[in-house]
Amino acid sequence: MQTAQTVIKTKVKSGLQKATFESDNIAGYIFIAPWLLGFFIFTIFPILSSFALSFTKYDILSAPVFVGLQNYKEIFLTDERFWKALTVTFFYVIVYVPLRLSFALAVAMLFRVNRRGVSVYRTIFYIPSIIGGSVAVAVMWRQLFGVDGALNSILKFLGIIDKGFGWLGNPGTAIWTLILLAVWQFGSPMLIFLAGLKQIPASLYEAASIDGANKWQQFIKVTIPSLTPIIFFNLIMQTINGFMAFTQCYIITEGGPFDSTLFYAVYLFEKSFKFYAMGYGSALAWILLVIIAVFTGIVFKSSSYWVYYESKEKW
Amino acid sequence: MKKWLAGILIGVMAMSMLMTGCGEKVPGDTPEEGSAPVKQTEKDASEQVELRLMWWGSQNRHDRTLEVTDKFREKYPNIMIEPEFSGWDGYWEKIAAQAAANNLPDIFQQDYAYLKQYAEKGLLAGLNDYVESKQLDLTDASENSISGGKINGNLYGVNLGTNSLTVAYDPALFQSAGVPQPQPGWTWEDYMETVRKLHQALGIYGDGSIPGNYFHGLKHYVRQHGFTFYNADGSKLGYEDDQLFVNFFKRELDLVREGVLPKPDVRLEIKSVENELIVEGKAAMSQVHSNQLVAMVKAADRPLSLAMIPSLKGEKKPGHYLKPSMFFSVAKSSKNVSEAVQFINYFTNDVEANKVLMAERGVPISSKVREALEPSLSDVQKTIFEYINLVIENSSPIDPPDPAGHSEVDKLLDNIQAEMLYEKITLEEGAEKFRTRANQILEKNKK
Repeated sequence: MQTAQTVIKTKVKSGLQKATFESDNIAGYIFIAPWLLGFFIFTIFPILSSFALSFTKYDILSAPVFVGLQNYKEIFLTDERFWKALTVTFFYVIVYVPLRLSFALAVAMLFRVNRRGVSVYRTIFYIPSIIGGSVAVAVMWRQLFGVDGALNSILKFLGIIDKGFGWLGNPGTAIWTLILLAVWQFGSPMLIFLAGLKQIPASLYEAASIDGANKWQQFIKVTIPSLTPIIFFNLIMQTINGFMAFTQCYIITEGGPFDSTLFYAVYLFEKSFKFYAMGYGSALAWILLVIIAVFTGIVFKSSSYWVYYESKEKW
Repeated sequence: MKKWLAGILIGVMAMSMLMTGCGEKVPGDTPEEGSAPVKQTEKDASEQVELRLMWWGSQNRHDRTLEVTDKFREKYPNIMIEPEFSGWDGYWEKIAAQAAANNLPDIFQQDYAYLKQYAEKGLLAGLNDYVESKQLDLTDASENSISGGKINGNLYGVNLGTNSLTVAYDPALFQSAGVPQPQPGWTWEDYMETVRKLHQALGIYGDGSIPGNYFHGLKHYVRQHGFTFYNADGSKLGYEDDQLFVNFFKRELDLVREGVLPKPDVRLEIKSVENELIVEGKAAMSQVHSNQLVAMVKAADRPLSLAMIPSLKGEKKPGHYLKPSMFFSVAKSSKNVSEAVQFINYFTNDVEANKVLMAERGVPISSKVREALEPSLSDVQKTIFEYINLVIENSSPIDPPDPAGHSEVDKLLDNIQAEMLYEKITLEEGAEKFRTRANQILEKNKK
């Protein structure tokens, strides 16, 4: 203790001596103060309180009552909708992440070459990602796949079906419309891929073609390995995003029909705000946090087996 | 160099902070011209009171309610109404958050499904004393129309209008199909025949869903057998026989299989009264609450009629009841309960105010107001008034308010209904599943 105090004292002293340096810091802190305050009040504080609340029964209307691990017990032992939501969310993540990433990579390959007007196309293909998470697009999706929607009209015109099919209301197809919406928003991984592709030295491709490799072999043997760090980054970002997906599902299907599209975040929201079980909802949120952390951890661990860093080998 | 730059920056920051800090004080010290004299005179008259008023509804309701608050202001210049309004979506999330912050509006629109929960948590002011002292004058309202707002004998919500479950139908379609229009007292058997004939003759859906749809319909059916939907203390379902559940949904399942009623995927897309199937002529009937006819007719742009929910042969009691469409509740945390009551009294009894409101929240509970409105009613409103009169003669008392956990039970039944109609589970399995889970939910919320 004593030593610690003296250390602090000397630090303070030396700090005073280096007044220039210190006052620079103060100015900096003042500048970021609005953000810092917001961060502590609106992020850190709610996160910590949700952790505390997860051990209580809290109906929002009256004071929370401490119940220990009751919420967690109930979630794991008796809550069938929790397991349902978990299954749906895992299915969604496992299907949409590879689809979105391969789609993004495919489009990025097309845009790699500088052709006339390519930047215009890039912008156009990026637009869904900007607007994709919004309520407006979700509403549009509902119209597209509705019984009287555009898709059914086209299919009817082509003579494939003779009566409107409820894509959103059918337990077999509803989840796929949500996956399709997610894949359609491939813009941000595409941009990152594009940047990655431009980093691959042309000499590698030259060497490969001299060795007689065709385009496909070049893609598999040169492009993919050089791109693994980028794929790794995208994989993690998209996985986390996928677990937290909310808006599309909430607006388009509200988890229906009979919970076949019940995303975890939607269930969490429903419990906390619709059924007034805030303590229970907080417990759900912390379980989600742990799941995401574990999943991300697994991806990180696995990276040493498949991610190739050029720089590592050099040094 | 860096030192004084930092100094200046800090100075600027401090200055701006000070200035904004001062800014808050300025208005109080030197009131703006124009507004000052008004405030002065009011303060002289009596103490100025501010009431927050919150409601949900459509644009139509917002316009009408705002006009009434202006009228109220003219009559009681010492009470200032601060309106807050939104649609139904998100309304209860907002109210809950404000309750948690002990910051509920003085008056807020209340729903039958939430009344009990809020009253029992001690968040609402009991209004019995005000009714006795006639500050809240309910002498022109029948006991039936008031009692829905009572919890354990005390009044926590003042009914803003009466409605009831109804079958809206298109008389023109009935005529062209050659099917007789439903008469009061028609039975479930009559309904089945009617809906099938309509489908055969017109090739459209006979109805948008089974009468009352999944929740209200089952509740109605349970009531016809003499039970309540939840038991007295809200800890269990109020009926014992799962055969009731099976019989009710058997009709719907049969009709969906025959194509007489739409599959759940079609129904899932209906998000508001305005896009019910009947509006576009895709169905001949539709299941709504009576006050919703106004919006429906406006969207359909042709006359629609109202029929009662089918009755049961040899029923124990009529399934119909008069439902308070919504209430005004006063928050217990309000510092001006007396003024809040004054506003509710005005809203309920003032004829001029109700000429603006025009029964948009349901048929007014005061008989005097009803009489005064009669001459100026539109055709749609006349249909609704007549229908409510019909229900008054053929109804039984309302079930006690829904217990905590009701919204989760409602969601559960919604899911189970879809599972049964997609034939993922049988009706018997559905009945059993509903009973077990619903009782679990209710019991948990009881603790």
